[in-house]
Amino acid sequence: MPPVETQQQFDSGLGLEVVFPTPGQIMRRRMLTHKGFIIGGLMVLAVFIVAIFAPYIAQHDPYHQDLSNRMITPVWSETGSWEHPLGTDAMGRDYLSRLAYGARISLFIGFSCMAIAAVIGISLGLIAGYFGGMADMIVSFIITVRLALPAVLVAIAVVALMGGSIQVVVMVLGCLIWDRFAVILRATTQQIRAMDYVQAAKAAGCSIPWLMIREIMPNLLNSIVIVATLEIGRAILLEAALSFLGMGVQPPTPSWGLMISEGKDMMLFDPYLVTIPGVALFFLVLGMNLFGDGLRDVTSPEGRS
Amino acid sequence: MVEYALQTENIKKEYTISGGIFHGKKTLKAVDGVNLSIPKGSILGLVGESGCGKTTIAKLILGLEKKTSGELYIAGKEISSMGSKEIARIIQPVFQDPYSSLNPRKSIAKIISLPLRAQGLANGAADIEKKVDDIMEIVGLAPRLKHNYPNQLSGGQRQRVAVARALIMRPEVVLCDEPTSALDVSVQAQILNMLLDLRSELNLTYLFISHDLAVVEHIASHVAVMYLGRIVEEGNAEDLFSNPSHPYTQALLASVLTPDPELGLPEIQLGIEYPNPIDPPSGCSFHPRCSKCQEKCSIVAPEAVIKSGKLVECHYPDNF
Amino acid sequence: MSALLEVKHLNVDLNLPAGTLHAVRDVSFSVEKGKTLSLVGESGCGKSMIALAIMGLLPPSGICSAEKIAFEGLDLQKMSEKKMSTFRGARMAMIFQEPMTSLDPCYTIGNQLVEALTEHKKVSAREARDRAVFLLEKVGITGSASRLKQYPHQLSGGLRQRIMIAMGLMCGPSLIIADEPTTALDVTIQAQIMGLLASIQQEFNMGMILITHDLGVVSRVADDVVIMYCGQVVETGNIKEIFNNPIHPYTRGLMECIPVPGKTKPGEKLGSIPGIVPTPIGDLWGCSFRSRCSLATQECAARGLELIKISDKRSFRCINPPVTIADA
Repeated sequence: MPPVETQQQFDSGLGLEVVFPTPGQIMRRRMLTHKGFIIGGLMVLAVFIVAIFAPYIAQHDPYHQDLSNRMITPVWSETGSWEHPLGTDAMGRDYLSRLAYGARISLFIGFSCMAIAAVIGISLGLIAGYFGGMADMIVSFIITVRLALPAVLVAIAVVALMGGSIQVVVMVLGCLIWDRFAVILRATTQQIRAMDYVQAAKAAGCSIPWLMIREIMPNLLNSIVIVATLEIGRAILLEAALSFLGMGVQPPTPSWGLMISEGKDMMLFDPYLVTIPGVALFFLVLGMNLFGDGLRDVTSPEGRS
Repeated sequence: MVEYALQTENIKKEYTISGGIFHGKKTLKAVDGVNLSIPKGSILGLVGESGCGKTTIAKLILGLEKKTSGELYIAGKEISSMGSKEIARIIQPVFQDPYSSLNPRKSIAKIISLPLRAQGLANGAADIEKKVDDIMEIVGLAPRLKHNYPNQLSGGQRQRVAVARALIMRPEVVLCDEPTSALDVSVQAQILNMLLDLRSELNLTYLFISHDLAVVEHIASHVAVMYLGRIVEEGNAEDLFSNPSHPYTQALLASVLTPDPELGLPEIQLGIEYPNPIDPPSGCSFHPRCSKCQEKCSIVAPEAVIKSGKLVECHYPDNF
Repeated sequence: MSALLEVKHLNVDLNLPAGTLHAVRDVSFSVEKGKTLSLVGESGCGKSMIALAIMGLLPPSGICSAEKIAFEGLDLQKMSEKKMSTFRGARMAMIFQEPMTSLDPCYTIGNQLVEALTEHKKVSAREARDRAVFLLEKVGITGSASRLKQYPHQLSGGLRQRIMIAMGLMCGPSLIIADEPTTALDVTIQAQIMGLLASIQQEFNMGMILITHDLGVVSRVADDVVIMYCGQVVETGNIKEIFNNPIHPYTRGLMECIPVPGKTKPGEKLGSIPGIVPTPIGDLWGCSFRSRCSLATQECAARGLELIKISDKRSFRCINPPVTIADA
């Protein structure tokens, strides 16, 4: 890696004494120059701002039905008005308000599914990678079983049995999308476990939880964060798919997937009903993936300059 | 009476290797009955080619692997009766590659103080800091490096950090696994000098594992030569280097290339390949590569005999 | 007799974010047929960059300039990339430190050996295979017919390095560049591989550039030595002159660093060179070694320190040599 910071030596003409930056400095410097990371981060940040300030953005109650103002088209069409910038739906609810509150649902589902998946996947991956042998065989079998299950079908079956609600959707999706965490963490743990510094820590008398959490985990953090961003995107899309099928979040909650589902009957006449939440979903998931991709480059220890 | 810092008695380590569906399971004897004893304050050099089991011995002694059979005494106590923390207080390692032996995500102070924190031996942060400062001075690291990260240090500085980490708990024994072979020549000399100084200052015992015989001859007081999991020759460093008895030791010594332009390259008659440890040769395991091999050698494994003050495992040590 | 390879005033600069790194500064040497020239120095001294510059394999940030890089009378600098690629491997072979990474794990040894030849020359697969068998025997590998069907991972490090040597020889090159060929190997194998390289070089009358940091290996194999520090040549000469009468303080320091059985007393302090190697970035002048040299004076920082030539082959770059030149 090329030196980035240098310091003139006492007695010039000898060249420089190279001062290498700390891992943190390298990361900060790369963050500021990585386009994908910045663009993706800004996209996700935008959705966050919308979600946090939803009450201020929304001029109407997202649940309030006003049947006299049904199917008002967005402001850029001929019949649109600034009263409802994104129009209203078939129930006369303000689309912008529903979209803003929907961001909360999507982000909440994305992050909480990821958190559940991370806990399951990281534990399984660490155990399999660190202990190897029998533990590895059992975990690998569990992973294989999980990969053989079609996520959407299982989710539909469970929701059909337990009824659709945000809590159920989060639990079901969280318990279904941990596979990537487990697979990637298992492989990286295997690599890191063999490093001499882990052996040295073991020889210093560190306990197994200490080794896993304090010595191995910091070196897994970048893989974890990258998988986490991808899983958030995946959870958001799965939620939308479930809601679209009527098996996820139940009406009248303003979920983006549900909005698409409710708009699909009128899709041919009023395409904005489907396009607007669709674009929002695309925007958020693209941002998440760009951000995750950028994070991988930014945090990779050896750097790819 | 000599007090031993480390003693092994007929210690063995076997691994079960699965050879695929059609071959069934095989046993790899990585360490096959090794007797070593290191008196307090001495330096034992353990020499051998890669794959001879010297790293496995290191792992057994550090408690990173469990022995299959035999006895291993650390400061007079059997290892299986000791907890990992107790072993760690007596014996600490310095590994070969200073680039992989330091956690890249931790600062130098954190790396050096790890054993103290893991054992809960320090009284608060101030005590840890003081001990880290002390040990950094002892190994010759500038105090300003404390808050740096491993990637900011040169190879020699990293190896000093590894030594500091090993010494912070003031262990009795330091196990050096090829501590200089990844370093540049001038840095290697610095580290060797430091290890020798530290030994007399802190009254340490070293188990020095290396394949570089010139370095071992320089540093060790006793030497054991290992081949395919067994010690084939062991003795006082001076005797062993001036008068090697085992043909393998002789071949090893002959292959050391000292800087001397008057000499050409030595003829090494060892054959081109180290035997596969899963499938060791019959009789004396060295016989397929031995230039003095007799009929008996391929049938009967030799017993250790005492030959001019050294232990030698060879049927015909007199032939030379 | 004209030299096989002649390098005159070679400079390699690498453009880094921190500035221009002068990796190789004004290096000249020549290699003759059947002779071994050794480039010696610690890591980062630019010795590998020289090899890459000759082979035309510098990284994109590298800029190479030289008065002359002539190989078999042809100027390599003026050669097109296409012509250069036919030269690489065919006329010049390179052997690297880690044989595992230079062999493709997906192909058999036989495939790789045959391809090394058919890529450069129009020969039938049959002829190429015969040559592979012939060369495997030359590098001491018996049962070559079965070896050809093996994959790299099935072989030990020493065997892989032998295969690499055989592969380098497939096209009958006239120059071998060996970059730390034995560093990753055991001592017994190291001596064998060096012996093999030396005998093959004699047999085929090739020139060899041996790049290493191991003075022991150099002293046994090389004919001429170039000692490098910080991208510069600090001392060059015949192997015996250099080892028996080193002049430059750096050369002397290096030799005192190695424990030599019989010469250094066990347990005694080894000589060592204090300090660290500066990185040659920016405007440089004076002797690069002066920050670590115990004999350095004010004059060592003067500009324009040239190599001082004392005989046809012997020269050094020091204005305060610790020995009088008459002794050397």
